[in-house]
Amino acid sequence: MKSRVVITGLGVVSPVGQGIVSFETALRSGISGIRQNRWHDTAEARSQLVGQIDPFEPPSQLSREERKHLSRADQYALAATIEALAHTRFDPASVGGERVGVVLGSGGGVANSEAYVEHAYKETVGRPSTLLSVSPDSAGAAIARHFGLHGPRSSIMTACSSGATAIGYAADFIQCGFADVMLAGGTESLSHVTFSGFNALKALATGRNRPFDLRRDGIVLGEGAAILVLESYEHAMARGARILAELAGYGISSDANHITAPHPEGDGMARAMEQAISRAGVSLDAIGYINAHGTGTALNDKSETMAIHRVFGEHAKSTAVSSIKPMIGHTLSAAGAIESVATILGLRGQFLPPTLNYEEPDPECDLDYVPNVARNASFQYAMKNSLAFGGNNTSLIFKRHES
Amino acid sequence: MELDQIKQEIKKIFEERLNINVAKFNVDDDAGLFADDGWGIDSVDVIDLVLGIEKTFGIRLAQDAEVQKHFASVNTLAAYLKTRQAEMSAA
Repeated sequence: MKSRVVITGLGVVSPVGQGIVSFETALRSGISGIRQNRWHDTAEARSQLVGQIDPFEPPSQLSREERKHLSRADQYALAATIEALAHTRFDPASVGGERVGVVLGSGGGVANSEAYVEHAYKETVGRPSTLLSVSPDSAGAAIARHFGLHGPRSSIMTACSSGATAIGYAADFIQCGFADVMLAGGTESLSHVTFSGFNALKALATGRNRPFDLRRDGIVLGEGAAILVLESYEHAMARGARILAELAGYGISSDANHITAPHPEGDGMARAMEQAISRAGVSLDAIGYINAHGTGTALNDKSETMAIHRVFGEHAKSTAVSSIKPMIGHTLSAAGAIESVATILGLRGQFLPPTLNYEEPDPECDLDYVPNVARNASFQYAMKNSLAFGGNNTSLIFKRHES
Repeated sequence: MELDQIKQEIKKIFEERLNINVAKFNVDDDAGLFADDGWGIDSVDVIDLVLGIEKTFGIRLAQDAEVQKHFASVNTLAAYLKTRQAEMSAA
């Protein structure tokens, strides 16, 4: 029999706070970390808003070399990992690190490449060594090096679903017997390339980010990182770890349809959800909450709503669905991970994080989106969905742990 | 290039390529390049240092112990670079 995979530790760096406590406070009280963008020149851009980590407080455990050479994305990931391992009181060195691994979704240190190219344009001296942390693999390498992890390591790039996909892959490493403990999540740092790209695609919101609202017109970018400590149930029990939730199952699919747009009827997303539900062996009415991808673009929210209708049928209207992107922005490679942390905190604390900036209902988005104010609720399972450019879809199902 | 000038060029590389604020470092030219109470250069900085030297002095540095032993202090490095320059002008 395959071992059950449980979540025993969480760590987060987000625009609404560095650390689980401030993050959960924001989720419960509906605080947004979106601010005026003072980093990019946005005079001519569609959006003047952004979710930035400002100030970022590097943990004291970071060595001088790590502070000096790691990119922002890598430092966010490392900060979240340090919190997650402290949260679950687990030191990988205590088991030699051989059965401990890491799977991360990361876009890499794009800002580092930019700085280097900028030097070249100005014909001044750049630092070739700054290009070391450009690779999306750099964050996982930094974590493995810091903690001496000798188990499986992998880097996921499925665009905006990377963070969620990483959690699924990490669970597979445990279930297939490669590791006892896996660190999984995602990290993203803002860059000019990313901002300009989304701006050029006209994907940025001209005002606030309003998922599922009639007047929604795009995303607001954000940055941050989240790490989940995944562990086999037996390993967690043997060391007396506090179990926060169980990863009951996950599903993954591809639209094979369009380079940026989701399938118009959410076909790929629906198939990922169906897969997750069947693998988790859970009945539809037991899933009380869906943390949506909910980017706030016209296409995403409609197709996601259709997918939920297709999968949940008559239960769709009685299932709460919300997006926390108006609080933290779209954190791209980190989104699936940060939002999984929000989902688990909701499941554990039995509350539903709200969808902020929701004012005008859209007839085509007709679900219960937990508008503006968090709500207490009683539910045993929660689903986290991530969709991405290129038609990547990942759906995770978390189960509440009764201790 | 005179020894003093070579030392100045090395410190310019520290300043421009390694982001070291040389004026703030109260260490002499015998201070260890890699020592915590010296210049505090690490293995990643060395990439930028070596490339900086190659570009500034127009030489190639081999990755072997014979070359590495000269990366002890500003004095030893400058002395080594001076002999390399002498070899070049003799050739």
